[in-house]
Amino acid sequence: MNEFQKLFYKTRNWLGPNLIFVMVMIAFPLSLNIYSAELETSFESILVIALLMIAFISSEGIFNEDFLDGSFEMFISEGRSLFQLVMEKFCAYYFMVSLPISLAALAFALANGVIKDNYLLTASGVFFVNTIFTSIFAFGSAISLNKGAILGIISVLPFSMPAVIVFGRFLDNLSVSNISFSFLELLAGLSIMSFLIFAWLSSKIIKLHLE
Amino acid sequence: MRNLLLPLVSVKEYIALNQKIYPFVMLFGIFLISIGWITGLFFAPVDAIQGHSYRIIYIHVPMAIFSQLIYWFMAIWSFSFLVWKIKIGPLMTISAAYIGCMVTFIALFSGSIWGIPTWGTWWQWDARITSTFILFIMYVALLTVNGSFQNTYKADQITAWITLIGVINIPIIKKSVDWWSTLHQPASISLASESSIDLSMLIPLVISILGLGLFLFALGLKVSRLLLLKYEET
Amino acid sequence: MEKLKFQFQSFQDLLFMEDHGIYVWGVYLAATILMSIFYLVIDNKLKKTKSGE
Repeated sequence: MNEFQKLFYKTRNWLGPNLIFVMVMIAFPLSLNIYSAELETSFESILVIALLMIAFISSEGIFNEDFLDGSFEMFISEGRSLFQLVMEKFCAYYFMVSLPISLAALAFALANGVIKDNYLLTASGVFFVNTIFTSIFAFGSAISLNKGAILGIISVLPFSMPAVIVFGRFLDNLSVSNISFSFLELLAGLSIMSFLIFAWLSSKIIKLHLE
Repeated sequence: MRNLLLPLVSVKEYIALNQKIYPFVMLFGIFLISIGWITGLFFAPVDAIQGHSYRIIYIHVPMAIFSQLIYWFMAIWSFSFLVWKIKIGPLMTISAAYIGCMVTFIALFSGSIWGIPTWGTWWQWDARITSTFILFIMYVALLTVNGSFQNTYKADQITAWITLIGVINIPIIKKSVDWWSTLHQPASISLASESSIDLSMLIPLVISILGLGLFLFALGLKVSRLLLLKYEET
Repeated sequence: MEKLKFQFQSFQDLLFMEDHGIYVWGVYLAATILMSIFYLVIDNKLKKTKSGE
């Protein structure tokens, strides 16, 4: 059974984060006056917080079950590469969590009147930043495999700050598509780098836990 | 050359060297700090714009410099541990993390007090303050991670990896003031170009930086001795 | 380069530093205390560990 199917049958691991994201995005306008301009200005910050939260929630259990039921040990004893397995897992999460969330974020951005055009740009920006966060927090969950999630979060949260900064610049400049596009390229580069680096590191750390 | 490098590899040689140089480094460090601070506090001229409050510079700048330097130090030792399996690598990393944590805290604290008379606010979410704050959190996180594993080998490996990745934050702190337009002033002293402060203010500053460096080095020697004893116990 | 000379007229002057004294002295005092506490804690622990408690 490949990682996509595995994740698909564990509904709470991919549907849960999506639902939480939608609920957070619905909850925040409730605290504001509908007609106020705050809706537009606070959208960006709520989006960043929601994305961070979702990345944390979704990646919390990414390695846990496989570690506990001995799948990793079996996998290594078969002589297969753990790095590849982790990469597959990451891809499954990007597809099942990051992609729907970026579409939902686009819908909410439209509903809150934040963007007038540049739909594709917004959605891809959210997708890339979410993949970065997911890779980083997955590394955190690899660190704290048998120690609870908090240890992982505090140790890797600082690494997500550069991505937050770039994403903020990206959202600020959405109306100027030239600048925004260069920030999108930067986000895409960061995303690919963090995918490879954190997948490799996570496989290293998991191996360390198994020793 | 071999005799010089041996303490870096062998634990026994390291302890011997540690105990030999500790008192000199400590005393000389305290001596330099006292000279730097006394000249800075009492003899350096008053700043035309900031008045006497600028005298905080003799604490703030050395601490800020070392908060970043210590991280580089840790990163180099982590790297050497991961690549060449140098035994005292983790020991150096962790003892430096304790000191780095304290130094970064003092840098943040002195900076925020300095901000009250000069900026009119003790905290501002500008680039350099925020990234230094993140650095402080990283030190705390590293110590927490290291302390939460019973297995020291596992703890050392994980700490070394996190330290190495965290290095990306250091250039961001260094360059944040140049990249973003923020409240924090750019660096007053620089090795490459001419400094923007008067020599009579600069000399005490340089002396305090050197003194603090030696003092922190001595503290690090002491912490590493303590950690070594604890390692031996477990 | 300006000459390094004593910058204050009286002890009062030194203490208050034109109303900036509280910040300057506060920072120096706090930093010194913090570093001393750090040193003392380490020293104490080292002694305890050596004596085998």
